[in-house]
Amino acid sequence: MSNASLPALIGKRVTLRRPCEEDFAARLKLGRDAEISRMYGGNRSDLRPMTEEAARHWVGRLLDHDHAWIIEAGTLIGHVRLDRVDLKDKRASLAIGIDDSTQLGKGLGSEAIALVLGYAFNVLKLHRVSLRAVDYNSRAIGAYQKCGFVVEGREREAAFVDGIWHDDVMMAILDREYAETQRGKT
Amino acid sequence: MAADLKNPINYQGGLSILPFSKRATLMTTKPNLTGTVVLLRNPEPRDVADRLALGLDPTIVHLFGVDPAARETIPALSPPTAETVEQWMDAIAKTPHSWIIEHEGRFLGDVHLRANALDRLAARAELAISLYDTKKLGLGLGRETVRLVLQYAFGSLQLHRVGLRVASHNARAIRCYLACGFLVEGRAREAHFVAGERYDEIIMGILAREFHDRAVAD
Repeated sequence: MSNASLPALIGKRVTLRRPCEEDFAARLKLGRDAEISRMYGGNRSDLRPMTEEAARHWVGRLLDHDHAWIIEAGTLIGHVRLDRVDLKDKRASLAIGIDDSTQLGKGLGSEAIALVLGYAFNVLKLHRVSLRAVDYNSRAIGAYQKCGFVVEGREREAAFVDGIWHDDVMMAILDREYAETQRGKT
Repeated sequence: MAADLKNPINYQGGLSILPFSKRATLMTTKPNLTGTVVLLRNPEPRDVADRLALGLDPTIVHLFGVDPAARETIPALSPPTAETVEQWMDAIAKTPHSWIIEHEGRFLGDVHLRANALDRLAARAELAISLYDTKKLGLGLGRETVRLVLQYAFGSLQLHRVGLRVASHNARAIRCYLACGFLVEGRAREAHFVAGERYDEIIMGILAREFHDRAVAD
């Protein structure tokens, strides 16, 4: 079951809210974009059209997740999660996907990340949030850096995409670094 | 398998012609891995008493990157009881690439190659090893264990990379991994919170060709 206490996070242009069963229709409509799939580390030859079953599965996995939000900008454009929330070591990893190719490059992903970081550091009181990105996904890496993430390392040849090995770039932001990004903001 | 290790051309054949996702699922058998001072094998009923006798030393727990004072909150690190040890050994027996480490006829620890669905697609796995007897640290038992598992990972399983994470204050383990050919790939800053102190987590990895090059050099 979805975490009923997970609050909606409301930004200027995007709203993050808990998923619901009905989201499958909007996800189905977005389909699968070849370039977006590649940025997730998918092989071109493995790309399949989105089906109702796959869209329902996509929603189902988010419904089963404790810290997963739908990203809405008018309509559903993607999702964002905090995975492996560890309240002892006070850390989690972040994963985000914008599945609407017409909405890329507008800073909506960055806004969604900023909202989730606010929740992670201010509400969950985490100490660090980490993530990984395949090395050629420079748009995502740029957005993460803009949000305050720094590169901590590279897992060499950790992804095999279209016949070529790529590194996974490991990034993270600490609570004090997040606080620094908030200075001077209202 | 020895031929595969010495010959990079053979290494391209065999299981490697299958999609990565198919390989790991084929390799569900778990051979014993035999070294000169350790034997990696499935758990046996007699291991339960040995595991209980070793208990859970706070020094060891600390090296795992876990606060000894907070370990009760983590089931796997709670003081072992006959019931939890039996359940744990049962789980190891059912897991394709988990072994217990035997030394001088007795249980000493456990070692795992872990891979989720995404890892299997990329022919990679994460290595985790635990030795529970403080008197047996520093004798090279960990090194032989890691080498046996790497030989299996890059030989039989034909993986492309093996990664691991280790707490930055666990200098002995880091030396062991470096000696086995792992390279430091990164540092997850302040990822562990142990007894009021923050520790980094070192990200390490070794690639198949690096392992095979070393095997040739040896």
